[in-house]
Amino acid sequence: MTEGGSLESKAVRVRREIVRMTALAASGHPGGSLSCVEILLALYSDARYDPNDPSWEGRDRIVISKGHASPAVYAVLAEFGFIARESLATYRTLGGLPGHSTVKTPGVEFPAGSLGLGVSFGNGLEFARRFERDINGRDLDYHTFVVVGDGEMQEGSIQEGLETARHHGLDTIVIVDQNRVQNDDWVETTKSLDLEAKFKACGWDVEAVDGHDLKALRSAIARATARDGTPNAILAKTIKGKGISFMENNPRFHGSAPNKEEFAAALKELDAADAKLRGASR
Amino acid sequence: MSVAMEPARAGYGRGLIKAGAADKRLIAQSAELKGSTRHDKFREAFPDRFIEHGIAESDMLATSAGLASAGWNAHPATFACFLTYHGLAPVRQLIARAGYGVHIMGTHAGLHTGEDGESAQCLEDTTVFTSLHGFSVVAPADSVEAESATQVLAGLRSPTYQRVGRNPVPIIHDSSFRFTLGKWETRREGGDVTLMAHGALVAICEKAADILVGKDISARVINASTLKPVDLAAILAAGRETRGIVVAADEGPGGLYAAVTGVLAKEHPTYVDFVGVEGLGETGSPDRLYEKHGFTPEAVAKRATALATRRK
Repeated sequence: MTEGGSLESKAVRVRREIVRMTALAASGHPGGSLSCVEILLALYSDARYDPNDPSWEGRDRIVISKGHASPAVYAVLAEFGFIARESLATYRTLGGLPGHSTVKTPGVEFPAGSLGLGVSFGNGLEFARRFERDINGRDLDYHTFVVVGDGEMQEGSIQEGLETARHHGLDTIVIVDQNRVQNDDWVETTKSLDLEAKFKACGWDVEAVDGHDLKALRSAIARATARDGTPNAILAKTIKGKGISFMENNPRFHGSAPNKEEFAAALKELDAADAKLRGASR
Repeated sequence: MSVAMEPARAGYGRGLIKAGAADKRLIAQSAELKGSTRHDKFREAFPDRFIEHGIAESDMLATSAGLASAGWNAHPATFACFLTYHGLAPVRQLIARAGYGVHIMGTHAGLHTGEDGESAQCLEDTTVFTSLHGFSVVAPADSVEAESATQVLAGLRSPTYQRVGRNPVPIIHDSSFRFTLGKWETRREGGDVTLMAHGALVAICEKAADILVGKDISARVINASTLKPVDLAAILAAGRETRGIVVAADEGPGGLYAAVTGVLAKEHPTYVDFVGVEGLGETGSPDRLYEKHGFTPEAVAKRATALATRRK
């Protein structure tokens, strides 16, 4: 398997790692990892960072608030050179890559795992950028992206962060992985909420995009980075379990790993997707 | 004889301004109540280094974590009860887990909050914060100690929690006093019994020791202002050299009492009595509440007498 290639081929490779990691660990959250693959690839393909110096102070801050998507996070970090691909096999083992992404891993900005805290944390990073400019006269010029789940939007603490960002004119950018499924059930069944109306009511600019369309995601992200003193939300409409037919829209795969047979079937589907991509590029 | 009195939070306010003058990266955050926490004074001194979050403790503390991760010295403050309970998720899940150097101030702790009743009388903050990974926890005895401790804690790159009460307490230190983290202060030497306290109870224990002199009981008085890390040497010396220890603190049994008995149960079994609050507080004047819970020199002296005269 070669590194590099198109973002589409990276997406297939990341999905392969997600099913491999969760199958190997026999636990984890494949559904919400598969849904945010394009979101993460779009972010990492255009963001500023240095994988050899992950704490470079001018880096864009990519805050993954939905830390259960750690397989996607690790696979993407491996894809962009932050961590070794071999380390992915240590996912969810003692001393290996943690079950929920946290700052111990190079490239991970945020101690995730407890939902609802990423927006306020991201605001802290935007306040920090403002203080650096206003107090120390240094423009670090980074952007702060916070990736949250649509189920996570039920956390009240998110509301506090949305209000603070608007009141203080922060340029925090929130990307919602709107895959419509949460741990127990569909989001709509669990507790329905009009997310667009919620963001708008809090004074945020909102844009909805196809969360699996890399081009659409990248241009929405580029638009959101305009520094106009209004925070931006991108509602990325995604499919839980995207890319594996029997995992798509199946609440069972929020928090359960594929078994042996399912793993084999998933790889077969991804191989077919890969072959199709190669055929198309020929 | 009149004794100078001042709330410990006044010292915190002065200490914060001094720390802020020394460190341009120090930021004060409020979830409202900035007059009460004295963050209003910091805002006057450094208006460009202040964040108002509104009534949103969780937001304030999660933002502290973000600030700290970008190298800023965050100082969030509000009432102990509100930050302990509304703020605990980001405190544990972000600040403690990542070890961010956030310096948290909880004011209006303990029964001393009086008339506002049990919703504001935080008795568990010290229990909670001493249980959190990597935190240092300090409860100064007066405004002078608070002023010094605030500057010491502001220089640490690990998380800290400081708690103070609402009301004026006697100023027991002279202005040259310097706080040392983890080092308890022997206020008075004594060989029969030890009185260990923090916060408002230190001055009360000193008066109790005066009463005990009249009963021919020599009481050691210790200001145990660092609840974490505890002063092991001071605890062991008290256990070995005196007949028993009275722990007196405006909090539940999970704070200083648990810390002291935890050390002694393992190292040197000792009788330890607790003058504190079991259960919740309630509405009442601070004086009446203190009387009810045994936070008076007379009541502490009585408990100490029982320990000092206990037959082995």
